[in-house]
Amino acid sequence: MSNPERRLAVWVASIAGLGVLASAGPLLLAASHLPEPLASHFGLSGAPDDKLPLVAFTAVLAGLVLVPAVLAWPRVRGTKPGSAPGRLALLGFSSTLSAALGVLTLWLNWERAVWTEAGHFQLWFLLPLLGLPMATAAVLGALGRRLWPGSGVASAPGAQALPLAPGERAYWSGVAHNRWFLLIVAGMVIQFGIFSLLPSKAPTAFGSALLIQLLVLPVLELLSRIRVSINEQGLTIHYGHLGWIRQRVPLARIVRAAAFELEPLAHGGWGYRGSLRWRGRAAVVVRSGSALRLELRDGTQLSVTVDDAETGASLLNGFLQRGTGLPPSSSPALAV
Amino acid sequence: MLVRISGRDESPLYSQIAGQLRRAITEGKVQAGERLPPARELAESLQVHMHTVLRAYDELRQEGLLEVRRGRGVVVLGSSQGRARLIELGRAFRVEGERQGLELRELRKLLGEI
Repeated sequence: MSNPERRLAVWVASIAGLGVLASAGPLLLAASHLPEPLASHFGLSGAPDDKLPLVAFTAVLAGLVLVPAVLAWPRVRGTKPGSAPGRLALLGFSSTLSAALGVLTLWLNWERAVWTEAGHFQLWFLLPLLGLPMATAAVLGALGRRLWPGSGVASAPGAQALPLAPGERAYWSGVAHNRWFLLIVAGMVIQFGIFSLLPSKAPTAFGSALLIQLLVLPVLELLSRIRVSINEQGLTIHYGHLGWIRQRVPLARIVRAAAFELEPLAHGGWGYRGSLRWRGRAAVVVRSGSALRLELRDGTQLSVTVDDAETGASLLNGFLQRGTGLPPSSSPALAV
Repeated sequence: MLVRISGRDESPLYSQIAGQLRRAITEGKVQAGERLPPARELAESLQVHMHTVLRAYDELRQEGLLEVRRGRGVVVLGSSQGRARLIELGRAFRVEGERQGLELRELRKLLGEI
């Protein structure tokens, strides 16, 4: 094992150890205050609808930490350099989720005589249950990028610039697809079709589930395909198959461009992650792999996944170079 | 896909654009089934007339590289990549032949003798 790999192994082992302790520990310590078996699953109404012996439940929680820990271990799932932040983020997500599930289950079962009397699952529980793991993943991803500097950067930023003759005109366009998102969208549309044929006596839980889907559907569609186009005016991201929603970045705002391999979990997952205004960093993540990163004048960074990002980056740098007559700013690369 | 056009190149703009697109398709930079960007966007970016871009698209459509689908725009076909490669080589052969002063008839004869 090389040095960075050994370091990753130490981190993975420590986080996994902490994760198992935090998720199984409180339950085992409080065993005398819990029903046996305990309520382990809750139905749509929020009432407990399934049970597990304490030992089995803690084993499930431990598995939720250990399986991702194996997946995050160096050299498992390929040896692609630069994947360390993503691996840490994945493990952080599942460890925190497991711990949150443990604490929540403990709280709902606390001092109940039988599992059927356990507290009800409220919808707002989902907020910390998903929010905390996502926050941990973001923090560990950022930490990983700091600990393994240069990870995820395929080329030195600004190193390549397509030489453009004076008066030469150029244009580049690339796409990024996520077939899973598209599949889910298609599934939802079919499901709407089926539901609209059913007699309208479905329980209200169906109604609210459909409403949530109606909100999610357009967002998923917009992220199932994006197209990035570049011309002398700058860069444009076209969202969705219709490309009606656009985001423009004028060339004057760009300092330089680079291509790199993007790991979604290191950026907090899929979708539009972060914010240029509030966090100074944003990423349009449709899939993993080839991505384009823009360093902007105000010190912020915008990343976007797109096929053959290398060519796109070199064209942008070519425009910048021709505009100033100088190579794109050659200050030291930021550790990202 | 990258498209560059230069004022110094003597070949007409539409054939420069068609050449760049052909190369992008044969090199696999644009996948089969993928839509090409709207002609208007390409025209505005390259500061050419939209008809110039449409003419380039039409040339590739005749070569069997593209298909124009109603409501879906211009879609890249992958099946005729071999044919596209032949057309590309043939074009280079013809250009070089003309440069050496050979007529089409003589080039055909030469091709038959190879």
